[in-house]
Amino acid sequence: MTDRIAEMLRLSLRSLSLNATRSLLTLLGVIFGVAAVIAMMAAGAGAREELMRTIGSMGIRNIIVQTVKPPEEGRPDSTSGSRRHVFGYGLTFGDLKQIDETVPGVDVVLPVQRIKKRLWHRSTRFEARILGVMPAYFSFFNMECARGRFITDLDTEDARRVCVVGSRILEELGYFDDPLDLDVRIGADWFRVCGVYAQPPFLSPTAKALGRGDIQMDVFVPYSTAKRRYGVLNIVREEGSQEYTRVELDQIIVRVSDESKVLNVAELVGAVLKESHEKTDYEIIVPLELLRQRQKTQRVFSAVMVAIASISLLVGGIGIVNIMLATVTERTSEIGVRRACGARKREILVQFLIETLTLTVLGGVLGCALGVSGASLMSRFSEWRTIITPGSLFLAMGISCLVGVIFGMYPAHKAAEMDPIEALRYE
Amino acid sequence: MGRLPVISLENVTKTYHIGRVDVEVLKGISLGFREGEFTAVVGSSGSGKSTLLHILGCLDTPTSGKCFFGGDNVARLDDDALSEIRNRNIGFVFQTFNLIPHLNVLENVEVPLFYSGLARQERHRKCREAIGLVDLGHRLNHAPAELSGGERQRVAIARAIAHEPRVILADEPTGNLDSTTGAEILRIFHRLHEMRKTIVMVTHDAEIAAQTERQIEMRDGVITERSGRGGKRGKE
Repeated sequence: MTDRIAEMLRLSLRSLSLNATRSLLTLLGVIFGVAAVIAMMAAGAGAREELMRTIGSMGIRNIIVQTVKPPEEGRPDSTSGSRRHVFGYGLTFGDLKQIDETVPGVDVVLPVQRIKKRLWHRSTRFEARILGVMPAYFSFFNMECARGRFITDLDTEDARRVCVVGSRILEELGYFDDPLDLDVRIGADWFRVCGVYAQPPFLSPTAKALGRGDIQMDVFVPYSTAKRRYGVLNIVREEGSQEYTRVELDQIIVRVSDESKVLNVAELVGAVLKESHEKTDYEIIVPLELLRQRQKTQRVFSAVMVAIASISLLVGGIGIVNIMLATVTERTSEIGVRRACGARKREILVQFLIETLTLTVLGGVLGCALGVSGASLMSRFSEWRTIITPGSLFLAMGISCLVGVIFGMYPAHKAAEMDPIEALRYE
Repeated sequence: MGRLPVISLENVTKTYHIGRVDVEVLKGISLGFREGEFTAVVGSSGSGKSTLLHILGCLDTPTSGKCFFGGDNVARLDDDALSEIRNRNIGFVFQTFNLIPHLNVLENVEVPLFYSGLARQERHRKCREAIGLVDLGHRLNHAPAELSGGERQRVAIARAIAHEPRVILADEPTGNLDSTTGAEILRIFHRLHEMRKTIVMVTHDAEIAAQTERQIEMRDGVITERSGRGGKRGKE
């Protein structure tokens, strides 16, 4: 039996090579269809992986509560009032305490202070985001230390002037020596670099969309240091006027004890904050929720791509039916001879089915090649990350076999059902 | 002589339905072909001789009557069973040669053996033997297009005998050939006859028919004349 299948394979390759151009042209539909499936799955897998990493870096068990400036009309008029009017809004230590004490399922609550300051090294300077954080912050966000160390409890206790920077910052400062023990100036104070955090390999659109894009420019200092040095009062200078704002806490990081409780805790945190805040001067970011939403979008996107690929495969399949019908007609006499020589209907059917399968599998292989190269081009020339999984290759080959069987069945059936006498008389 | 009939027909009729009209092509044929017999079936076109050949060759089944192959009635067998009988017992030679153009000589001859499920080596051995018999051993790897008409028909004959069938059925085997080549082909048939192959040849050429052991003439779906050395024993 295997001998016979091999023989049939050889025969079908031969008869396909008789019409190589025609066969190849017919295959284009299948090739593009398969390539679309491969590329689509590669892009999907890439996006998924990136999403997992981005959201993973935000911590799936974290809830981020952060201060936002309330809308204009909500605040007291700062220009007509006294020049010294201080506009206070945002999260407070009270909120932090209340969340920690009243919401069940909360593991740890961390305060974060966020200030924009100038960062100096010699004469180079740029605006950086300074984050005053607790030591646990780094592990909560799955950050990795590339050099030195992160901020420790001792740093916090003593309010030391140490900072953790990223390599991008060092580049920006034009500093290429050993970064440890480098002194930089933040605002008016000198800080010693105690560690360098690992940078994400590249910036993804997802990360940007989730507001994590600028992590590369973040400078981390102990929370206590930030609080002591910069306080809670902020001065914002706008065209000729000054605005004083008072924000106690920029962020509260709520660490939930269990992943399944995250959404519940987020709801409770929302309820707690609503009690004590008249205006919505805060927002709650739940990475888990974002992940779910993104996954949903991803699924819709995938479904659309599958539909497009299916249409291409359908068109390709119709082309194959067409060409195989022509082949069957051309080879009517051969079918007659084979039948006269004792071929059963089934054997004729199998012969033409194998021929169609050979054609579509060839299309599948070419389509895989095209899809893989297309995906790699996609990730080289755009920010889209693509991952080729073995599964997608198997799927594509499976699909092309399926297309071969489905669309080969009709011509093969037609060949098998031919009246041998009529077939012998043909031409 | 005690030769057994390989094929015998009993009161076989064949009716084709063409539109609303029924055309009776064979009207009660009773015939027997003995082993080793070389029979010619002559008749003008439309006399039903091709239909007879198709029924003998198990390509077609009779509308009524019995058709015995060996001892079995094959008149009511299904397509698969008929295919198997063709594959084991029958070799066809056609007027238009009907070689498969993209296969070489060896592969064309191999076709019936392919369906009998023989191992590749065994198939090739039998093919070479048959091709040797028609003196084309030097043309094994040629495509049909590279051969002359006579050579093509010789390939077709090799294909018809390679699987050692019990009957060789030839439908106007010289019809598309000039007289010299035709004579050459006939010589091969005679040689096969000498090898005690059973041959039934349809022809409209009385001269060719005269060279055979036995002649049957058909007209309008009935047998009108039998002659030849073994002719009178046609039906028992």
